[in-house]
Amino acid sequence: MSAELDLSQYLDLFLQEAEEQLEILEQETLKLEREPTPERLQTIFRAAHTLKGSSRAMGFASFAGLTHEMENILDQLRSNQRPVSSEVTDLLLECVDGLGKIQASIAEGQGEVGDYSDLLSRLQFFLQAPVEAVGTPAPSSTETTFALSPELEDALQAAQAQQAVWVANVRLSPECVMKFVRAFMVLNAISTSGEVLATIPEQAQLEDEQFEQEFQVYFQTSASVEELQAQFSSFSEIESITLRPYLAATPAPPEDEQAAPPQEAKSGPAPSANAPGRRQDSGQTVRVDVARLDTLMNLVGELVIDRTRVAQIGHELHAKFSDPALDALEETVSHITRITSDLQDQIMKARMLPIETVFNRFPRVVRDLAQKLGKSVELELLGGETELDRSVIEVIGDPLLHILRNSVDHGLELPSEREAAGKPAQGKVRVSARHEENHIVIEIMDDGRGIHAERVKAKALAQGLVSPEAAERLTEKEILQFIFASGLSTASELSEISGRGVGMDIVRSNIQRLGGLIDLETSLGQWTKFTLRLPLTLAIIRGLLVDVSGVVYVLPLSSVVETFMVSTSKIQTVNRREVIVVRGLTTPILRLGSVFGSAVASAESSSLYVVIVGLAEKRIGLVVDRLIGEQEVVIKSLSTFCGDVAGVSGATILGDGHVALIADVSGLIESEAA
Amino acid sequence: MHESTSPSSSVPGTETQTVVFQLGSECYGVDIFRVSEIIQLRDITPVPRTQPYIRGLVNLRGKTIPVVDLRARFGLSSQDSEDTRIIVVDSEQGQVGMIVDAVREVITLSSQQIEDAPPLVTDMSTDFVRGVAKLDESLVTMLNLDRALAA
Repeated sequence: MSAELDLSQYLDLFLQEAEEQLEILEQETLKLEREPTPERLQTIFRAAHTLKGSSRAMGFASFAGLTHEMENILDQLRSNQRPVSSEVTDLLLECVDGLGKIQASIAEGQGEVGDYSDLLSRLQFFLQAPVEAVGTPAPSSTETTFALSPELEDALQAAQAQQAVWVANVRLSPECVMKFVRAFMVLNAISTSGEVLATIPEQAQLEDEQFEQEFQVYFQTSASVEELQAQFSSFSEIESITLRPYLAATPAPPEDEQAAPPQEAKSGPAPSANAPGRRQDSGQTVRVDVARLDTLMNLVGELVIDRTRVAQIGHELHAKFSDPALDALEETVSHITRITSDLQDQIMKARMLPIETVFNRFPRVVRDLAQKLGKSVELELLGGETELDRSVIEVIGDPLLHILRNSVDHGLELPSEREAAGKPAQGKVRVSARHEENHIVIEIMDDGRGIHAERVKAKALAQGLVSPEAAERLTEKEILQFIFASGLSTASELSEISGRGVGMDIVRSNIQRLGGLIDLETSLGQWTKFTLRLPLTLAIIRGLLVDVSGVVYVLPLSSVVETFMVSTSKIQTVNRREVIVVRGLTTPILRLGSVFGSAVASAESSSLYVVIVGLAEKRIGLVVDRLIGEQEVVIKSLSTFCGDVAGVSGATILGDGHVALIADVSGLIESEAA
Repeated sequence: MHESTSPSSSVPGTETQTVVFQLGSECYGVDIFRVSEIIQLRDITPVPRTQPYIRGLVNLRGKTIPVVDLRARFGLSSQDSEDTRIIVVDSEQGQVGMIVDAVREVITLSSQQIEDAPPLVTDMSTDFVRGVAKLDESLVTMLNLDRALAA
C-alpha cells in the first residue's frame, strides 16, 4: 500500500527524467550516426541505463524491457563487437520513439499503452545476428576489451568518488600453464597495498581458469603506479600488464589508447579528477515547477497594477494637499516602481528558455523526412541559445516544424534535379534565431527551387481567391502572400508530408495570434526564406491606450506605425469604404466606435485621431476619440465565458483598477480586408 | 477553480446552506459552496460583440472576471440600484460574477424542503431551475447554476 503511494509521488520525477533522457538519447543517436565516438556511445548507454533503472523501479515493464535491449545493443557497439550502422541507429531511434509513446501514455495517466513485442523481438534478433567483421584487428594483437555490466559500473563509479580506481589489463604468455596461479599472484600483489574491487572475468572464473590469456582487475591502491609496475615486472609468464586509470566515461578505450605503451599510466598522477566532469555543475540550478513560475508571473503582474494604482493615488493626493508625508510617499512609490520592474525582469528571465528546446526536434524530423523523400539534406541550426519566454516557446514549435517540412518537401529538389541545375546534390536548410530589439527573429531558409510567383497567381485565380483584374495589379510580393491563404498549395503532387493546402494559413494565424509576423521571400531556382518576427513574451506588452466612446482600449505598440489628427474633410469614400491618403498611400480607415458598437455615438468633430497600425505591409487607420498614453500592460486572457470576441485579443487591468480590452490588430486588419 | 464543484442535487436528509438573493420580486437560491464572494457593483468594462446578458469584465483583485446580468439572462429588464450586488460563483468556465438585485440571507435548507419545480411557477425557463424550496411564507427558486451560466 505505502509502496504505491511512494511511487506515485515519484511519478512526476520519473516522467521528467524520462523526457530529458529520451531527448539525450535521440540527439546523441542522431549525432552517433554521423560521427560515432566512444564518448557518445557512452553517453547514450548511460541514458539508456538510467532509464532502465528508473523505469524498473517504477514498475514499467515495457519501458524497462525496451531500454534493456537498447542497452544490450549499445553494449555490443561500445565493445566494438558491432559497427555503428544506419541499421542500428534506425533501431535505436525506433526504440526512442516507442519509449516516447510509452512515456506519453504514462503521463496521460493511462499507464503503459502499446504492444512492443515486435520491436523487442527484432531487437533480440538483431543482437544475435552474426556480426560482419568489425574494423578492429584480431584479438591476438591487441588487448581484449571487456564490457562492464552496468551494475558493476555503478559500483566502480561509487568507489571512484572515494579514491581513484585503476584498471590493470593482464596478459599472460601463451605458454603459461597455471593461469590461475599467475592471476592470483597479480591479485595478491595488488591487495598488499590496496583493494581489488572487481575482476573480469569474475574471480570464480579466474580460479577455474575460464579465460583465454587476458583478464582485467579493477582496484584502488595507495601505492604509486611505479611501485606496482616494478612489482609486476618481477612476475614470470606474464606477457604484459597495462595500467590505466578507470574512466567512467570511456570504459572501452579508443584504439589509439590501446596501442599506447604501458608507461602511459605514469604520465597522469591523478587523472581520475577529470573523469566525472559532468557532475560538476549539479547544485547550481534548482528545478522549479513551471506552474509556480506562472503564478509568480501573475503575482508580479498584480504588483505592477497596484504599483501604478498607488502612484496614481499619490498624484491625486498631491494635487489636493501639500504635506511632507506625501513627498515621502512619492519617493517610496518610485522606489517600489524600480523594484517591481527589476522583479518583473528577473522573473521574465527565469521563464526564458533557449529556443534550442524547439530546435532539438528538428534534426530527427529532417532526417526521417529526407530519408523518406530520397533527398539529401544538411540542416544548419543557428542561434539555438537565443532565449525567449516559455509561453512563446510552447506555441511556436508546430508552426516552425510545418515550415521546415515544407522547405524539405517542396523547397528542396531531388538530388538529380539539383545536379542538373548545377547545384550540390545535398540541399541545405538553415534555421536561425536572433534577437532584434524586443523581438526574436527566426529565419528558415532553403537553397531549393524557390517559389514560382506566376504559378501561385494561377492557383489563386483558379481557386477564385482573387479576381483576374485585381491579380494583374498585384506585385510579386503580394502574390506570394497567397501562400498563406487557405486551400492553396503549389505542390503538383500531394504527399503525406505537406501539400494539402492546409497548413500555411494555420501557421500564419497561429503566429499572428502571438502578435507575430511572418513574411516570405524567394528567388526562383535559388532559395526561399521565411522570416518570423515574434514578441519575446506574451505576458506583458507595451500598449497605446486610446479612448473609444468613453471606453479605454489598448493597442499593442508593436503594431502601431504612427498617430496623427486628420480633418474629417480629408476622409474619402472608395467602394463605400472610408479611406484617407497617408503620404500618397490610400489607407482604409476603421472607426473603432462603430466596430465595437458602442452605444454612444462619438461626438462629431471636425478632426479625428487616427492610429495607423500595420501588419506585414498592410496598413489601416483606426479612428479613436482620444489618445491617452503609453503603458506597459499585463495581458489577461478573456474568459472563455465571453467566447471569441472579434477584434479583441485579451484584457488587462489599468493603473486605476479598471479593466481595459486589448484590440486584436491583426483581426481588425483582416476584417477590414474581408 | 475548475474542479467540478459541489453536487447540484442534494442527498436525501442532508442540509445545504443556500445564499438567497432577489431578482425582481422573487427569491432565488444558490448553493453556498459555489459562491466564492459577494461584491458591490463596480465599474464594468463592456465587451463588444458578446451576448447581451454579458455585462463585461470587472477587476477582482487583479483578475478579470466576466459578469452576467442575471435579470437580462432571464429575460427581465435590468436596473441597478443601491442594493445591487455581484455574486462571484465558480462555474465550469472559471469564476463568473452574477448581477442580482439584492442579496438577502444565508439559510439552511434540508433536502426535504426542496421540491421539483412545478412548470410555470417562475418567470424563467425551467431549464435554469433545480427545484423550489418552501419556506414559512415564501418560495425560494433553487438555481441550476451550470445551466443558468451556460452560453
